[in-house]
Amino acid sequence: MAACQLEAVRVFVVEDNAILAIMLEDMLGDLGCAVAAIGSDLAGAKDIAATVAADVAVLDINIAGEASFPVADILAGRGIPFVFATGYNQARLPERFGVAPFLSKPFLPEELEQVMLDALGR
Amino acid sequence: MIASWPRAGGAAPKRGCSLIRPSQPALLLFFVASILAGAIGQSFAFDPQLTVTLWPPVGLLMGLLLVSPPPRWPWWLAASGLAELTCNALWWSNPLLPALGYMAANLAEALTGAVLLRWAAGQRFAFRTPRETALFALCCALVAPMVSATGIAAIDQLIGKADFSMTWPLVWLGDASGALVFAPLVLVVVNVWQARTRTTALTIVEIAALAGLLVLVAAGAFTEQWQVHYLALPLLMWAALRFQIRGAVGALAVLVVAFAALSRALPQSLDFPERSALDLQSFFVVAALSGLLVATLSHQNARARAALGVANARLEDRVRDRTARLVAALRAGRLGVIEVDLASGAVTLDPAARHLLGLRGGRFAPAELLAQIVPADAARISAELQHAARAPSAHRITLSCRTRLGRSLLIDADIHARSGQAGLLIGVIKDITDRVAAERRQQLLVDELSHRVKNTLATVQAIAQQSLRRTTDPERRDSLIARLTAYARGHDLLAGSNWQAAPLDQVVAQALVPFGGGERFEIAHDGQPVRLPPREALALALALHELCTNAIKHGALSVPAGRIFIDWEQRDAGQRFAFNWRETGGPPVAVPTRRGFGSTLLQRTLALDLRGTVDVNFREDGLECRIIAPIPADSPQPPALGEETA
Repeated sequence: MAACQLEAVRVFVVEDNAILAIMLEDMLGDLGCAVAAIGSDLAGAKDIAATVAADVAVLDINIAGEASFPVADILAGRGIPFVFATGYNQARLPERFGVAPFLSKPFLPEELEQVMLDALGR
Repeated sequence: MIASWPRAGGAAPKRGCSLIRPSQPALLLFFVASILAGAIGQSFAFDPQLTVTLWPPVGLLMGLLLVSPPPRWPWWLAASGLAELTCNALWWSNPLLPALGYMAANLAEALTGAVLLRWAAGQRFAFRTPRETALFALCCALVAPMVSATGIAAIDQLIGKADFSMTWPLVWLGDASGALVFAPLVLVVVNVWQARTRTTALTIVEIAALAGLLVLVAAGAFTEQWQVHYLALPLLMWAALRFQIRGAVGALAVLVVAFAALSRALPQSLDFPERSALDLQSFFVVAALSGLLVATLSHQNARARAALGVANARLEDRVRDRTARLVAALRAGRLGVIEVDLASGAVTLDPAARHLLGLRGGRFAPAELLAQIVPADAARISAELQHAARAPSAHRITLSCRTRLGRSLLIDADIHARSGQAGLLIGVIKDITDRVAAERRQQLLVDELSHRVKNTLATVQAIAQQSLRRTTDPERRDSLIARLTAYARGHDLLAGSNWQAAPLDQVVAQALVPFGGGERFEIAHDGQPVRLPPREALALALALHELCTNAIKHGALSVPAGRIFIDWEQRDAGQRFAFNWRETGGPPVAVPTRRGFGSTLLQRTLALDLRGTVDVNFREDGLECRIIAPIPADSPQPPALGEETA
């Protein structure tokens, strides 16, 4: 079963919309993952990104009007894979993130699972 | 101008046959002129036996008949006859009967010449073309003098004065030379009188010089040592070339009058021991014919040049006008003109193009120009120019550049290879900076809007998820969430095409992604593009989602062997499309007893949104769905404000 592959994976979530954050938490829970931390603004998310003990991150792009790309850069620097989940078109991503796994909102639990597996290289 | 004769008889066309008497001064003038002409003729009477060597009065009468309407002719004929009789009384004292006979022969000659020429060359005769000049020579100098020659020679034979065969050629040539010089003289004098042309001082000097030289030549002819009358010919050509018919006729008249005057002044030279009268007559006939012909050709040449000048001026006007219109149109469109010569490597810009690019100077080497405006793009643009030179149609190159003043510009250059000129490109450049910026702003706006819609859908999904988290019917919850997601996918496609239209193949591919993609589906279509506007695309995306969901639960996708065939094609020359969904290999199909939301969505919403027919067939070997719907035009117009939308 796919769920087994994500068992006990620690996920860092960046999402400014509380309802979406809760849903994401539920979905991740259903997949057997553990939410390591949730960032809801850029400054806080950057701080968390620098220290959080996570296996993978799911990043919303527009957090309270700011792009979350600096967070992605910090994670990339630490070698933590990340996934973008956004309502924006993939074409809007900066070139350096062109190959990053990408989720178009709204998404199904199966899609989330697939993208996270891609990001983790499993 | 010779061409502007008044139409003979045109001034008084009251009754064709009624006679019109010329004014008394005109008649008197003609009478005196005829006697003077007779005096000139008398001066050429080298042989006392023969009165005529050159006879001007008949030419005078012929010319007058040519320029005046026939109703006046009897008066001119009478005046001429009277003048001849007067001359006879003054100088020759012929008996009355022969004198009347000579007169009749001369009048008949003049009438013959005038009538013949009017018949052959028309009433508005003039020395305009070589043909007209030849007709004049034929009628007035060849045929008409035969009449008087025959008459006068017959009279002389009859009265025993001279032999017919001796008189005839002398009279014929004498009258011919008289007609050749004096008939055109009348035409020219009348014409000059009417045209009132102005002459400059320099022209008068030239005319005087010509006349003086002609008198000298005439004088030379009277010396025994130098018989140089042939030297008159170049002078005659000079006059004919410079002043056309006026020059030729004037020079001839000067020559004849000078001869006449000299022969009176030097009576002892009249002997002409070695020179016959025929010799002199021949000289005058040849000189007059040559002069008239050269004058006609020169006149024709001058007219052709004038016509060419007028045509050229008209053409220049048209070119100027068209150029001005083109420039105005270019200015209105804020377009600059660019020309590229790939062979020589020169780029030419018009002032508008230079202004647009913020450059000085009109011609550039391409490398120099590219270095100034687009250092980064130079290689690409050079390649595109080469491509444009070979392309059969206009080619657009977009350049981004920075002007001297530091302004960043986006320029569109639409260039075209000039037909028949290899390597030459011409086109217009246009500043599209503002337009592109506006398009970018609009794109950002559309993206932002799309983002918000999708975030809203995601929020709705999250709310549904949370609200139905503890439901006893998780299948319903999942189906709702899946529908929302399918709807959002369709939305994605439309956002990608700027809310214009989504290609049908992409709508299908997108809808099948959550259901295993291509593995379970066989997709075929005729290759003709079918593009669906937002409403139709979203309706079809949802319908496909329902069909797939149903296939997983009850149909072909519920067993490993099941497959689904999807195909579509254009119908009615692209007006409509037919879409088929057919399941095979699934469990036997039973017609549902209850209409679920799925089938309602399919049959009602789809038919309504697609404005077509949806036919769902629960065949035993697999469900079948046939859709036939119009293909709406791209980019539907937004509805007017306040209008209710479906």
